Amino acid sequence: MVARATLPGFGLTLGLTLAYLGVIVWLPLLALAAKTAGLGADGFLAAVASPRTVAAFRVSFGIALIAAAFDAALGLLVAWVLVRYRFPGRRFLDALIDLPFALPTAVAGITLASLYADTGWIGGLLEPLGLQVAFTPYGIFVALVFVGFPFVVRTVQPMLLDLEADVEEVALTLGASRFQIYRRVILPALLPGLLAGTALAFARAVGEYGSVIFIAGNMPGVSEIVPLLIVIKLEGFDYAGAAAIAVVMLAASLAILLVINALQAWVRHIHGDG
Amino acid sequence: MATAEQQRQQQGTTRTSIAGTAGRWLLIGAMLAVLGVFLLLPLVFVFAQALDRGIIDYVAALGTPDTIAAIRLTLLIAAIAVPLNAAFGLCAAWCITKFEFRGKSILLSLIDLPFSVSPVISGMIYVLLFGLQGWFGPFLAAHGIKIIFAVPGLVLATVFVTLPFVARQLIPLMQQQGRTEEESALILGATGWQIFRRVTLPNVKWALLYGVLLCNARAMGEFGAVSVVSGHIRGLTNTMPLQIEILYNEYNAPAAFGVASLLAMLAVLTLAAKTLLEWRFAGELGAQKRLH
Amino acid sequence: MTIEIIGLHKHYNGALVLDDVTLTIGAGEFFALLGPSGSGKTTLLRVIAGLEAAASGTLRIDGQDAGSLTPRDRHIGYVFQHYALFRHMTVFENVAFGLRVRPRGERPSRAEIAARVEELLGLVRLEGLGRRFPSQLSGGQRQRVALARALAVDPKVLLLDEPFGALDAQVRTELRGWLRELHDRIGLTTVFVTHDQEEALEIADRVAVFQQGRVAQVAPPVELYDSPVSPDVMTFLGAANRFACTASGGRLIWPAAFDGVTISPEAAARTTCALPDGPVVVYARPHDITVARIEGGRGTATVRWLGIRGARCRVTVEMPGGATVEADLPRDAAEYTELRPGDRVALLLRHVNIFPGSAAVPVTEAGPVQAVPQARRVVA
Repeated sequence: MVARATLPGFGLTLGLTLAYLGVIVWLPLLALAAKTAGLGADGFLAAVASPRTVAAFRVSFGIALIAAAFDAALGLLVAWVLVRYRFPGRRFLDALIDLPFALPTAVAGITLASLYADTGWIGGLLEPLGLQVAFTPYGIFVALVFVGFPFVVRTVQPMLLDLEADVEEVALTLGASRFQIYRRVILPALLPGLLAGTALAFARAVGEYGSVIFIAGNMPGVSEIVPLLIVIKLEGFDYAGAAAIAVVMLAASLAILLVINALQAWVRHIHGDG
Repeated sequence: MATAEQQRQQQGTTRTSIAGTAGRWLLIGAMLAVLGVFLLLPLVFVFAQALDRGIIDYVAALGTPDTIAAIRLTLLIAAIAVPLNAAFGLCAAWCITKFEFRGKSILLSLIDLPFSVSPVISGMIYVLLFGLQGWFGPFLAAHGIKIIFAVPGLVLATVFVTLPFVARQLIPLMQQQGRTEEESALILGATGWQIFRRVTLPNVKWALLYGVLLCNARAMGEFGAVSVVSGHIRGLTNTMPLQIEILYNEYNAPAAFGVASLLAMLAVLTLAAKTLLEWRFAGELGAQKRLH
Repeated sequence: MTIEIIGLHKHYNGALVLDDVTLTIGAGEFFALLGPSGSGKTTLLRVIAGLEAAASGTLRIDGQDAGSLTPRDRHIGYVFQHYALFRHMTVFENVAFGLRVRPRGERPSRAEIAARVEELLGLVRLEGLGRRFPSQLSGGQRQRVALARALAVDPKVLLLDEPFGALDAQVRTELRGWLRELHDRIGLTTVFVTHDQEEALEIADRVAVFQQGRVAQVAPPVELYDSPVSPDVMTFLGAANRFACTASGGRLIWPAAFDGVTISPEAAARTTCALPDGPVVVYARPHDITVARIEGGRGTATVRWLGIRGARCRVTVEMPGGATVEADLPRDAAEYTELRPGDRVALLLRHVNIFPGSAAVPVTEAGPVQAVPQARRVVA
């Protein structure tokens, strides 16, 4: 028996897929690795550990973390209300959740920058209170919250939909107070999804560029994000330095991705599908 | 009277109301405030700013040569990148879902990779490859081929960034649909191409459309990756998002928002189409609505 | 179209799915592959179709080696367990598919295709449903569309994978007979896979019983039922009572535990001729057992329970040794003899199958063969 008896097209499609990926994804990443390798350990460290770079990492990762946490709370609230309550316009708002995802980053960038500037609609309200948002780290925070928001909502929503009413009702009959039910029954069930969504928001926020650079002050050491630093280095023809920083970012993204995958596997495990 | 009111309120909630009726409206109000400030307001703001100087100026701003060139470039890039990635998505989905082989999960991770790469890095890697100091830099310069700071580079960067969209939509669906229809067609005498065209494609057409919609929205709106590769040469290598940046930095806010309003309209249309597809063809879109 | 299968082996994930399978299916035969889930029968069907390849062995179709032929070139018709109809095509388009995808030179004209489709729809009694979509049809209707579709390309052999598995019991029985009639009318070699022994025994010309990747027995249904080649096959085909006995000098010696059981002279003549000395197990089907009340309370077995089921009556009898035996009598017989729980009875076995050995334990659908220290009553 000789024939590889399956559907036709395996060799062709696999070959094309690998070739496409090879040219579009692998080759450029290889170039990145090569460029960085060319630096040698000292050069690499110099590029990556300089005060300005470290500050940029602190800004990017730090604010992204806080923004993701804020998104978690916000996203949970929104998902909760959308799933549990009926009110006019619910479907419309549900569709709107994906706006930060569908809206081009540059559009979001200039919009948020203008809105929160001292003369903007929102900035104008905050300025008398002494709060300046645009051109400060707070601006970065606002932009990253905007960008990461849909991730949390969309991962928590299905979990909320799946929560069985019976479990809560049983808890009620057993004498739990409403708050206790929330804390002991609902929140733990949502936790995996919440964490997965937060991790996704974090991953997106860390690498965000377009939404942030208009509203950030872009001052080195204070409000300069890592992607901007990479751009500056590229414009200064410091390809190697830019490559080094990129490699660190990629490594961090990879680590976050592994965490996300693990969390999503946990979610699927509880969800019962997959 | 009281009981009827209570009944109506109970019907208004989907489940046991943990928060109680007053709490419920408080939460709804809070949510509406959040969404209003965070989502609706910016959207409205874009159009308000665009029309700040009136509709005539709005149209005029959109008609400047640079802006028109930017619009055409954006459309051109999308017209190349989206079909390419759609074809890739179909190819990869066929390969992954209709056959068994080892290394599938690695392949899937590779396809997903562009999602986790920051846009700036997505563009930068092509500069490293094709830029003057890049691997192929000298070769390209010698032959007069321009990739970086020219349209091909923009296309490449956009292709990279939007690579996964269609594939990710098709793969779970085709996985779910299985192989038996294709096997039936094979036994009935159809060639591979006939099987794909007559059996598989009709079964995935809505998921394909959905993926193409998302791919297109991202392709037209991509900023970071394209910015790095572009060179910002007015009239030549500026896409709409880049043009927005230029106009904004020149303090020409209404014009910037004018172009932005076009992209915002695209975003709204994409959202509307997406919602429509999800609503009408839920079963044909695959196991779960996945967020990218 | 004849199919010869010689020494087929196939592994899947380390397990042996087909173990040295050898079969010959004659032209025009209505052949059943019977066995529990996971016994390899569907895999064999797929190998014949060309959807999967065996690791070693030979497959010959009409005398030609078919191992390297693609499914297309084998000219087979295949009906999947869940029909695999093209969900986005109408019934008409489904049936016409095989004809429409033929290369230009061989493709019939539109009119010819339409005529053929109508003819086939008539054959499967689905006239007028050509414009419907699969989702608008019942399970039985979908199955017939799948059949018509397979027949449209004039296959030389028809392969069916659990054709009635997904249907309600009543539809299943109807379609069973209908499929057999269809086969008799067209005369096409047909091979079908099933786990339902009743189905296989009712309509097939010959049946191959599969167990754990191996062919246990190939025979016409009557021979299979009356003379199974092993206890496994016997118990798979239907309920059977087990009696652990000893054979000596060509005669059966009944232990005290089964005192009161006798075998009719005809049954004895048929089966005890070549008994080796040593422990043996006697199998008897419930409906081959006569339960007779012994007057004067001298019967050794006791009736425990009588259950009337329509036209039959199930009698549970407890033997002196404690084992229980199930007999299945026509209801009139039970009522005529006025059997009651508590009656003392004797059992007469009118047909038996005897197998040597004492540790043999019937194989259930799911489990492997296990050794058991004492004899157990079997009702499958």
